[in-house]
Amino acid sequence: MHARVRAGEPEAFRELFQAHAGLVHGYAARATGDPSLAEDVVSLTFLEAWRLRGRLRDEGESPRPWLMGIAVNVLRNTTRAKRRYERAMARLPAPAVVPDFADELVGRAADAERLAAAKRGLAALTGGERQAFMLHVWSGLSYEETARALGVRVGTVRSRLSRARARLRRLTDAELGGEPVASSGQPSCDRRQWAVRPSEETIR
Amino acid sequence: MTREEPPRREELARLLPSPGAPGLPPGRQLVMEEHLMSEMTSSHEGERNLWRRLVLVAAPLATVALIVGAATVVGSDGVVGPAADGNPWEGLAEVAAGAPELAVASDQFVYTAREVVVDYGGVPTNGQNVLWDVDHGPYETEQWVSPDGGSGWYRDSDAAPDGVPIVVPPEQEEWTEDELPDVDVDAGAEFEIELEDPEIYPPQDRWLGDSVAGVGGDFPATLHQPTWEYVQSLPVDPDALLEKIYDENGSADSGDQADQWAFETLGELFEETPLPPDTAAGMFRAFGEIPGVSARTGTDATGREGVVLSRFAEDLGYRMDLVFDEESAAYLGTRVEQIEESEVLVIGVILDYALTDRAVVDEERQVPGT
Repeated sequence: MHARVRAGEPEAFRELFQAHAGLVHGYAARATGDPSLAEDVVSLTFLEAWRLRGRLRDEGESPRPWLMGIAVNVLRNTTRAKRRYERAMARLPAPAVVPDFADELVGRAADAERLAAAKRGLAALTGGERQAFMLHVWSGLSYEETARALGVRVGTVRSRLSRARARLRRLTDAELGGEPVASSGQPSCDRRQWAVRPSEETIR
Repeated sequence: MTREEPPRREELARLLPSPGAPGLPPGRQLVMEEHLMSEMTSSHEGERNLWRRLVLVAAPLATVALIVGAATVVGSDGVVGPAADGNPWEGLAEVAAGAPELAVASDQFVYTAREVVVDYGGVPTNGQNVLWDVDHGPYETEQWVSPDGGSGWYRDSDAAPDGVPIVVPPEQEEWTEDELPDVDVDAGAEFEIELEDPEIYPPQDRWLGDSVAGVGGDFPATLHQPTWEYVQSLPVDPDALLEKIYDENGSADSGDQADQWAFETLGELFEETPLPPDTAAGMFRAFGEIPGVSARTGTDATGREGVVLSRFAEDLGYRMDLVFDEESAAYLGTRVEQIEESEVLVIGVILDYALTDRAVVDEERQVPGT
């Protein structure tokens, strides 16, 4: 599929989207704490992937590292990505009103609350640690895939995750009496601010 | 000094459990998918042409990762180490430096004929990443390319037996609203946007459109899309050349991956265009600078004997061979063999092709010697 995506075959790209939209959305939702913003990130990621498709290399069997690397970059600067695709995004139809919208809204609120809780745990990590943690632990990328997505060495991923482990242990012990962070259920503060800040820190 | 074990995913997940991923509602995903498709297909036709061209150029390398191959014959190669026969790249470099200078006038064409013996491809099923075999070989290709890469003719016994013209894609233009297909946004509605006629572009076949994109305009020559004119400007000093290659290949890769990519970039240059003698000599010396490159004797896809420069890609578990004629240092062919098991790749030769003719001709579609 790499060759077909690189060759600009729309159907190959459709397959790429169908296979990976959920993965990108999950990552983006957990990174931003905002399922709606995450949808924009998904669209922006694939628009950017289409633009950059010539750079898709034959990095093993899965295009995941390449795609997630683009998603990480889009999240680093969502505003810039939106500006680049302003016209295209303007043509993206707004979410349709579905008949059972009340249920959907409740579901979304619950999602948002869980996400906000998890993000408080992520706050203990630096930007680089957070990215490595989310890609490896929550999105299921291997060490090697995570390294490729972030453009760093595998050893760097390993040390970031080691530091993340140390920080989370301290956090778990000190603040939460041994309970996992995400189950604390404290009310969320300003999650939109959250959504932007951590990603900007990671620009080096 | 004690060293802590690298953290395992399960352990980290206990420390900070995933909040779960709120799913993308299926109706919404469909809207986004069709939006993406319409943005892609409403962009310029010329851009797609470029990539058709790149298919021709890059597909041999491109096919490596997703292809499922079956073992075929590999020559019983004898190993020539640097110790056995001096320094193999230096030997090739000296031969290459003594080759006659080639001249290509602006109204002439570089003719290249290629015999593709093995070309396995895999295609994912819809959304599942499940592959099935596609065996494209054997087939032959011929191309006539102007020295600036902007015009010519391409023939492929499989995908374009009658041939298609090589033309420079038109300039990129802003998309206009009325070029966009209407997208029905009602939830649950069926979307029917015809993107490509499946009769014309069966998804699992190699395909060409009605033209092949040349180099020029918005798509200038690069290391990965070289032309005769472009290679005139390449550094002849091996270190300077390698610096350019590593630099332009990007900094995201490092270590073995970057070395492999540099090796393959040199290979692409040999494949795509004739080279000035000094440039070719510098490229052979550059091979010697890349970690992990070895040399032995062996054969190309058509059985011609030559010096095989090889590199094993640690990440991906395949070995790429570039075969050169020992007497003339001419490039003969490329072979890729998957060595290590991986989830979707099968052990064996997955790509094998030979360059069977290369010449400068006066007329487009003129076969050398006629």
